[in-house]
Amino acid sequence: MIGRRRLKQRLFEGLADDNLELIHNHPRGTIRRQREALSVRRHRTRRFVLAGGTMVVVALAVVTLGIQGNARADRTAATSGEVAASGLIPPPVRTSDEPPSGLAEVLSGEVSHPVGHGVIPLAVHRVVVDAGHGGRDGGAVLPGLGLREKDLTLDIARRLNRLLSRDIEVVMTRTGDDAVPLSERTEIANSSGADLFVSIHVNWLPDREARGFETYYAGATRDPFLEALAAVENRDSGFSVADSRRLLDGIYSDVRRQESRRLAEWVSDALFDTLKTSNPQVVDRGVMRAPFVVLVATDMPAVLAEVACISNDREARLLGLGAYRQRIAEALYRAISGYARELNSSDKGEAA
Amino acid sequence: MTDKSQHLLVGIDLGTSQSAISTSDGDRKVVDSYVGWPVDAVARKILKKEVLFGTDAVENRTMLEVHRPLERGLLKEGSDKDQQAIRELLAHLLELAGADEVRKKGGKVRAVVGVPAEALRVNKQHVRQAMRGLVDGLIIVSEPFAVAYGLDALLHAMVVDVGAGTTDFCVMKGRYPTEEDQRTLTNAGDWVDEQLHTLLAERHPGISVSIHTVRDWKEKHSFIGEESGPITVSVPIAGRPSEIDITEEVRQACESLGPPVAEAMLDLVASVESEYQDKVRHNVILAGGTSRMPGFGAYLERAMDEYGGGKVKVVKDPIYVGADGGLALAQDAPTSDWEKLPD
Repeated sequence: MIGRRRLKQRLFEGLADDNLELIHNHPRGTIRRQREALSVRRHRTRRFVLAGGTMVVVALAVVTLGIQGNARADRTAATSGEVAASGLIPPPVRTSDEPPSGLAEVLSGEVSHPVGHGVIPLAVHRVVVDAGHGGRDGGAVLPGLGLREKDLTLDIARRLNRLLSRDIEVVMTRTGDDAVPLSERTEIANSSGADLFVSIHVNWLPDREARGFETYYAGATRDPFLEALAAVENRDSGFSVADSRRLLDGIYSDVRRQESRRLAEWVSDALFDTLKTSNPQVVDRGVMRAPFVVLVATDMPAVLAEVACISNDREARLLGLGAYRQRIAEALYRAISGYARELNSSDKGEAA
Repeated sequence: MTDKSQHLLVGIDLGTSQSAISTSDGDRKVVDSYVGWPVDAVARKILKKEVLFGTDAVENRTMLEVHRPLERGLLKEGSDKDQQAIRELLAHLLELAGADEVRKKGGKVRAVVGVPAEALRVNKQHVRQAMRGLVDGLIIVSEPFAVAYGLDALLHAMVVDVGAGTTDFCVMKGRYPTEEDQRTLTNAGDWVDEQLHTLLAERHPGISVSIHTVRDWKEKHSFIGEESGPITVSVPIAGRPSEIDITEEVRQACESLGPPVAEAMLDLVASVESEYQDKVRHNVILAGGTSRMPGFGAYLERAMDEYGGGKVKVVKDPIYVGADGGLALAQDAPTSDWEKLPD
């Protein structure tokens, strides 16, 4: 007999799928059918693994399911590895705060709301800010506008660092255009004893009309697209097969996952609230679980934010504006401070 | 970020006849789903309002362009005015519930809006559009599911929600209802009104009576089965005030609703796995404004007799049961499930 709590959870999953299909105009039942198909695949994988008697393969199946899968997203072709190799390496992103011609109206009349000092309570001492990609791995690239994901993420990370470091210690996984393997990023986070891990990425979606941001926390997703996405982001992770068991433990650590989800919700809320004035068409594409290595292998609450869609022409242009990237950094700062405040107040409540 | 304690959660039942709202502050409001705009400057001067709602709109309809935007449970397509009406109606409900004040103070308002079980996607998109700028978070939900959730009938239960525009069916199988778990009929309260209107016109050819008056008669006198006494009404026939007995017409009109509803209910029960059908038949919940029709529950129970019997529970508060269910969903929904709406 299914428990009440599990039953309600299942109902809400279905309700959320129904609304997501409505928002993204997918035919009704698409997400459910994908889930069911994946569930069959996963069930088969589990049986195979148990018969073989090796948990390592389970870990690989969960963490990298989709690498060879037929759901590999169009994103793969669009990420920078191939583009960079083709010699189409664009110049670094402009970091000027001056909007380019024709986009001035986007930010006109809008005053950046500076965030105050000392708002992060002691519950959070140290935050790792991870600028996605770097070095040879340029991430998503838009040659026409001269935008590279690795430059955009680094710029936003630096801005976030400036905001956060007024109150707390910030550890950056990279400060320049360096190639830092994912295993090293998680090692930096774990060895620093950080309280939170925030990874910054920029999205590329096959649907060029799609826009907005997505926020992830660690978990085994049921969405084949997300697994394919994770497979792309996890490429060259630097993890060995022997690490896979520990990675699996990371996915299923409930307390950390709950905290990660809470942080992800704060990030999602803050990005929407902060960006909607500059980008009225901004879409919150949801808080989702995915097995990104940087989320799975870190020991603290961790989130990965795809802060905008570079594949959408308008958002790409906005991303080219320093002022817009500053908004994104401010949103992430507000999310971290809001999460920390909530954590602090709930700690006090429990103590009382 | 705002203080999350300032959030207001609301459940909205957007109905053809009446629309209701329930809030996390314990407030509940209902309005008749009519929206009217003054036809000219004179009407505006007399009425002193830019837009009127509910009974105000119906009572002053001669001076208004009145819209009932949800015919047969669905937003009328292709009419900008009806889309505007639905937005006005939603805005009015939210204003009555104090949502504007919450937002002015920097708080957030999140709404669960119930729509008919088989509402077209385009209708749901209209609702999403209409809610932009009115609330911060939105979840659209099948109305009978909201009813089931509010009544905690989550497993092996069926909701039969007989409204004005539609009768919605939803069988609860422990999952969010899919298309095969739901049905929508346009045989509902309005359909009974039309039947009654036609029957009266056939019997009294010179009768002069509006559909609004016929609706009032039905709401006062409807029944299925044994009548409690003769039903007589005053109405002009060929211009002459007359007293007529409409008992038989009311009976025929109301009873015409029984067979299609019973058939759809039994059809849906048959779609349930055989070992659970008995449980579902004994857990039928009759909701919606038209569920107040005396004898309706008993009629549906009789229809189940030859299938092994069943039990129909008529909800006590059909006006708010959908909105309360929406509110219950809003209170339990994870933060990440809300669609954030821009201003």
